[in-house]
Amino acid sequence: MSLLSVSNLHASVVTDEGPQPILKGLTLQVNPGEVHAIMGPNGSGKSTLANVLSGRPGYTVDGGTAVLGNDPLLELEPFERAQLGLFLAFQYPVEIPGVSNMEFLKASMDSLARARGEEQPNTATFMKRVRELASSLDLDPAFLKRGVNEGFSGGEKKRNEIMQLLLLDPKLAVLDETDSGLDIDALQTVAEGVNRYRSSDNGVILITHYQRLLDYIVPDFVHVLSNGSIVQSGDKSLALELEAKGYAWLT
Amino acid sequence: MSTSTVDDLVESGSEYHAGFVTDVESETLPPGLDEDVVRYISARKGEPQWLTDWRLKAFASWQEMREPKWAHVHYPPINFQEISYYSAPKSQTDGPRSLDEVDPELLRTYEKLGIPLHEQAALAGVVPDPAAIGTPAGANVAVDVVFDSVSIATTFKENLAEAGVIFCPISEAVHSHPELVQKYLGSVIPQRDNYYAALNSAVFSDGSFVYIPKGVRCPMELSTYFRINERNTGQFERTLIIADEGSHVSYLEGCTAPMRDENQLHAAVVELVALGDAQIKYSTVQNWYPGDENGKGGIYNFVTKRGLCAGPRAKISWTQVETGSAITWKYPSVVLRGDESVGEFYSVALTNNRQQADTGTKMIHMGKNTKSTIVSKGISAGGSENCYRGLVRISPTAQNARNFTQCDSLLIGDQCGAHTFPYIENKNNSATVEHEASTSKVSDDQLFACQQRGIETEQAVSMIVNGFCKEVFRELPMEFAVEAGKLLEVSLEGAVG
Amino acid sequence: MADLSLPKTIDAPIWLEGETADQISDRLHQALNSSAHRERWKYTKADGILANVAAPSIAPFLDSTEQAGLEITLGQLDHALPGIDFQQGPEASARLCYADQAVIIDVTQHAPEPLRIHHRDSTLPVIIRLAANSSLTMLEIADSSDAMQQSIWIDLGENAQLHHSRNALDPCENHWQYLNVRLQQGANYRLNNHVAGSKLRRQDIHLILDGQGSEATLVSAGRVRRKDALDQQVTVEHRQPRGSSKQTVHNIVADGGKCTFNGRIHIHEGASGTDAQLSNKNLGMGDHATINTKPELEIYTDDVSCSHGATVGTISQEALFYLMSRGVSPDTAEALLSQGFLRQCIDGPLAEEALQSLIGKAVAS
Repeated sequence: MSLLSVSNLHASVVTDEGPQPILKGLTLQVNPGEVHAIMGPNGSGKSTLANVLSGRPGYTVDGGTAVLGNDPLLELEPFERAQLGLFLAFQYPVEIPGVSNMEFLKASMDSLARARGEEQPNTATFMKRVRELASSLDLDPAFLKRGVNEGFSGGEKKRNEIMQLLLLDPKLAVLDETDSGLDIDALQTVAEGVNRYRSSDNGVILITHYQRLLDYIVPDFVHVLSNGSIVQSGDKSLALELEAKGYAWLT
Repeated sequence: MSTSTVDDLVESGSEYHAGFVTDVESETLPPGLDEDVVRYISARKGEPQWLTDWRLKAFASWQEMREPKWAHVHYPPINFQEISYYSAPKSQTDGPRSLDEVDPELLRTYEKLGIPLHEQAALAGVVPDPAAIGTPAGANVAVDVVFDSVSIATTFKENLAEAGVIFCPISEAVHSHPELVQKYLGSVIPQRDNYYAALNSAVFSDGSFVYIPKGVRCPMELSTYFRINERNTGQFERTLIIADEGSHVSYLEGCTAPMRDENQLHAAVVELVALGDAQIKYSTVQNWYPGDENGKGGIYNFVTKRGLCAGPRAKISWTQVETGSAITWKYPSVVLRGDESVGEFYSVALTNNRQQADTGTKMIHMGKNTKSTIVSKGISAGGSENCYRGLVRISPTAQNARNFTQCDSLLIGDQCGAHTFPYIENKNNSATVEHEASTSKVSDDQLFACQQRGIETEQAVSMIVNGFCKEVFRELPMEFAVEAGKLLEVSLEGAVG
Repeated sequence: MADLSLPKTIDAPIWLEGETADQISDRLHQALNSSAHRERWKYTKADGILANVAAPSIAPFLDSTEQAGLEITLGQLDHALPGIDFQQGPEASARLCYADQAVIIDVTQHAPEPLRIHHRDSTLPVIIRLAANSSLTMLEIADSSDAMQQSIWIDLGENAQLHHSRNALDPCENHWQYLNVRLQQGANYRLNNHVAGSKLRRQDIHLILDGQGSEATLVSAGRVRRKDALDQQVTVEHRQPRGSSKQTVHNIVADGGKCTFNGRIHIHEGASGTDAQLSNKNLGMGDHATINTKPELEIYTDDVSCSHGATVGTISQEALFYLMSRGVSPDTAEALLSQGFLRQCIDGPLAEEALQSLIGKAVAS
């Protein structure tokens, strides 16, 4: 059974001038254990795909389906999708002053555990786990007391996203341009985190503009998104070809 | 060798280019105000009984009202019995005629001010005189010209009529379109609205009337040019603009007055009505005589301006560049009654020497998803006082209303004042209201840095001030935007260069 | 509009030398009814509070009074403090005139223990004078369900420091607190204010930076529940050069609550190099909360860095989505975010109790 099955997805973004169609019949299947890279020029709909899958307000689905395991996603609230095991690493992680990272993570862990009918992790175990993860990602454990992403550098925010990925251990991770704005050291740290997360049970969708990230996280498939649908699929070599030739030859 | 500092620059005086007097024989009512004066004005204009009654009702209200004292301005009490409430050039006493018959002396006045009264000349584009700064001198603009208490000419009437647009003096509209005037006059600003609106309602003399029919985009910019000439007169004009469903209009207003030692009162009322999907853009460049550097003379500009977004998706946008007047007391406002209607207020208010300005806006949100934007730039120089006063009110019915207000002050010299009084009243919590304000100054350091790079002080200040006002200037129609920049320069002469 | 008036005639107090009772009454009457002052009562009825300004008062309960650096006397004020301002605080000045006694606290050096002031009723005016280079931590708590009023005048000498924490968290019929702080050169004052709305609760705070390089900080968290009201009137006056003031005021207003904030920054001529900042944020929960805010600036000198911002709105949709994308339900997410909003302004030695009262209950609801 496939992990994620997206079929003929049409979606628009809501603007002041009315809905603007972005995704125009996108089909994608992710099986357990697979990493799919989605590449494409700016405006091709990469981030829209991530946002529509996770249920961000401001987008409307005009047609098609997206199923995670056995569960159709598109009618669900964002938190219900997360509880089913969908994780979005944000391109621009949100700052929430006043709510500490610790509180935020605990609220998330507890909700997910409740949804799975599991016992909520006890605080000591949870703290220990968070501290370990934080230090493995070069995040100063003191950050846990600070507001969510408050005053974080771009790199810290992205590492915080990966820390959450490892902590929450979802079925499917969608990484929306997690590599953007990272220097090479931070990029390697992030990549290590993602590789650590990879297993034969879960799946990853890597949305990226550059092939650089794929040197560190080797994808099983590379898809090229253009004008709202996938125009070309291949393996890692496609990404290298894109880097050499640009996107123009595809469209 | 010395470099000039802000202090030095504040010392010298500025020049006012529109300060000359036109020598025409006028018929001017002796000073004083009572019911007979109101009746006289009404009779002089041959008004129907309902309007005479309307004026008298306003006068009765005014007598019961007290002058507002809450504004951050100071002036000696006004003796309303010393003002003459009606003045018209003798040659015009028979009312507006065709352009060819307008007194050549008056035409020369407007030529001097750079107002294109001859349609030919207007089309060809008149080269603006320095005095014309702050006046609508662009090519494709229809102009209504108000001289003291009467409208003396309206250009392009025929061209506009072809599009179904009515643009004429309000005194004429009372006769030619009584149903429209009766329906809308006082519908946005009732007679009792405030002290000066009540006074205006009683004695208003002339002003412009505009009606844009359903679905029509007005083919050219409309504009009114106000001129106070006669001594000891007040100007009480009344403007009424109605944009019917789906129509668009852009309207410009300019004002000047001679330099006189006495203060003169200007108490106008402007009412705008935008029906569903209609858009009105109203731009003002106010360059009334500000008085001299010691605060002697100048216009008291006590004006009530308000627009009503009566239907869904209506939009009213006020843009003002206020550089003149001894005292400005003015709050162009928008009542957002229609769902999804939009109100905007973009303002540059510059005060120099002893000028005082208390200006801002009110955005009254009543409809759902209504949106308003306020951008106010106050520049204080010399010993002037510049105050932004605004109200954003979200009524319980205004679901998802949005307001954004940005309110910046620029101080030039340390003898002036800059004040901000923004009221936010919210009774619907699906609404979002944001207010930001900042204060900055043109510092000696900045000036020195510019001078060190070879930029002269005048130019440096002009650059800084223009940059500060950019967000507002870009809302002005093109013809106005350039001139507004020049006008600021002229008004700052002495304060900064 | 009827004139505001005082409940009974005033006897001339000794600290107002050379003025007759009539002159004082006239001055107060005029100040009460000046348009600037009426403006401060625009959104709250003054009558209920004015009626009580002459009500009998008792001394507040004080703890940690026996320590080095503190001298506390109960007696008459013998000369006026420079901070007493008839024009801007006529009600409080009237209270001071009516009171036959005041609690006078002189701080002569560093006081090691926090001084605790507990109001369980209308209390006598409190005058706190900090000598040059002295310092004090002060904890002030007001709890009574009856109508009550407190008024405090604080004068900080050169380089004196005061950290003031204040909780007014219990419901009360009609509560008014007046606070006036004057700072001399190099003095430092910090107020952590935690407040809940009540049937009517009004706080007037007047900070006067009257010496070069003085520094004042106001941090306030307020929660106004259903049917409750809170009115905060803050004036910060910069009278001397190079002062710095910072105000951060967050209020949450529930459905049916009413919250008024007026934050006025007044920079006098000559107060060059002033840095004054104000941020007032309001979160409305539910449809029928009323929030009025007016951040005012009055600036008479050009060499200043001055900004203010005010927002009224609901919880950030972006933050809500971020939490929801991590599996947190909308209700929990909303509660977390509103708590976070208030927590940013809860700090200092009385924070624990404030968190419990202002946030603890929120989680349960």
